Amino acid sequence: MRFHCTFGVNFWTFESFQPNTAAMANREARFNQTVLVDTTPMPDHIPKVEEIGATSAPLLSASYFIGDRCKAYNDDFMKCKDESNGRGEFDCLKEGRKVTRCAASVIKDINTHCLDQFKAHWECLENNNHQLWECRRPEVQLNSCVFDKLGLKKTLPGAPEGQVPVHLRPKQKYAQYPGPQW
Amino acid sequence: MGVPFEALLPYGIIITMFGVSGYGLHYVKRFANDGKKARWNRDLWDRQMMERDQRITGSFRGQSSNHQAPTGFDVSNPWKIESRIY
Amino acid sequence: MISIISVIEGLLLIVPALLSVAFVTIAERKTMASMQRRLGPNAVGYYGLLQAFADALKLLLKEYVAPTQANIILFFIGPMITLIFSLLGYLVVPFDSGIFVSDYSLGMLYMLAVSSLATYGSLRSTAQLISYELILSSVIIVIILLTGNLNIITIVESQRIVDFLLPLFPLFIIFFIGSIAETNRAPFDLAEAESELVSGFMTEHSASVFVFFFLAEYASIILICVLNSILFFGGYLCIIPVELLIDILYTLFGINSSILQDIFVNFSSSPLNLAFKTALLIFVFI
Repeated sequence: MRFHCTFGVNFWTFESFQPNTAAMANREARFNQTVLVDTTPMPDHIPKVEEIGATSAPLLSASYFIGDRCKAYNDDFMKCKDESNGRGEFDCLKEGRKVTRCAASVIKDINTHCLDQFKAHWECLENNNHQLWECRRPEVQLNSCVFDKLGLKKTLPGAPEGQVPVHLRPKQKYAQYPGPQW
Repeated sequence: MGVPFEALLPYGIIITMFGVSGYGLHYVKRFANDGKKARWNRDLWDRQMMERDQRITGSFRGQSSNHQAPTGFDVSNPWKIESRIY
Repeated sequence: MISIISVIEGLLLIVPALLSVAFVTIAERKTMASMQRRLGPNAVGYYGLLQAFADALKLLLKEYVAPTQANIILFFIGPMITLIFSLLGYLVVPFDSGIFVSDYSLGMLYMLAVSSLATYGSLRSTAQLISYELILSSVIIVIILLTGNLNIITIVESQRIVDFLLPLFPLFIIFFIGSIAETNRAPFDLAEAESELVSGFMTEHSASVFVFFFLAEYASIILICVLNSILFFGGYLCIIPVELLIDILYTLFGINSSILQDIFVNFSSSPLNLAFKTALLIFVFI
């Protein structure tokens, strides 16, 4: 048996993004006990946008493709929020609408072209605590389908150079089936 | 001589008891989570996303891959109320 | 609906836990008997398996004795508190990656807090506490540093590559000795004033209060065995390393099919693994 001494150290940071927290508009964490549902719609002078109806697992499954197509819009939105000094909710509505529309377009395209692979992947994710390393087999099929039909490619931002990225390694050490996945 | 089998019987019963609670909880958890495996080690993001799932599909584990939200989704967002600190 | 499910979950955890506590007492007596070439209890039920229930019934029917100068309420509530807290520890035990009653992100801290509350007796266990509880928590801190998380399921899942028993073998010995001391087992059962004390609480309590105390004692033994197997033996994970099996099948026979993959996914973790490891540890404890 081979020993891989990588316990936990990079267990959770494999595919996580590293947000620049210093530059983001931070606010103190505070407990809240009650919520208020305000059913007043947005005022008319603000243009309407269709909200995204995908839930957590499909969003996670599509996230890298959304990131690939919408990188410019997302960066724009984050830059706007950084620069608006905590008033981002009011000042960045325009950028936010672009982000929403772009993400919705990606999800719509994946739904029309790669529905079966997409469904297989997000159902696997939903059944395995949303952990990407448990679902590499459906993920490879989804990635190749999306690359063929839509030209979007999954890349891990900030992955170390000159190594095979985790999602392309055939063996997934922490998965329930740690052997070759495909 | 070794341990006679009589002494090992209670251990067998202990293993069975663990099995009873383990597999019993397995079925109860499946039932409570719409036939899926329960989520574990949820952080604030996961809980927040599950609340969003509930607003879209009506159940915490329900999933849908529509690109359009159902009507009324844009006004059902709860505001978290905090006590004011000046 | 949700409250009914939680009640069922609690019952599914507590009832088998209490039953297995009853059988741990009989397991102890039988194992000790076989070590000393005796038969042990063999009259009640098949091979004396129901001896624990007979003892409990006998104790419940007995008259209770309270010291005249004692604070009666505290005197009777103490063992109950001990029992409740040692049963509370079962709350965070994971039986499989999605099978738990409650999954706290600070589950390890909860376990530590509850297991130290479940020890009973002021002076004696304070002496135990400062000498052994510190060691227990330091070992747990090492494991938390390795896994980077306090969640118990995460600690178990990060042992998929290799159980912590192998890289942390010296720590396991320390932790095991510490847990024996924590549960007041054989070499550590009389911590202070060994010549004056018979067995401390055993002479003070009687009847049903004594039953509570006895149950709590053995419940915390099972709990600390479960903790041992979670921290060092990989909890609910398969006893044989799955990766090794897959490597053998793949390199020697070239087998890699989706059916095999499904079988191994089911095989890699099961509540019975945790049960087997815990039973083995209870045997070693005795």
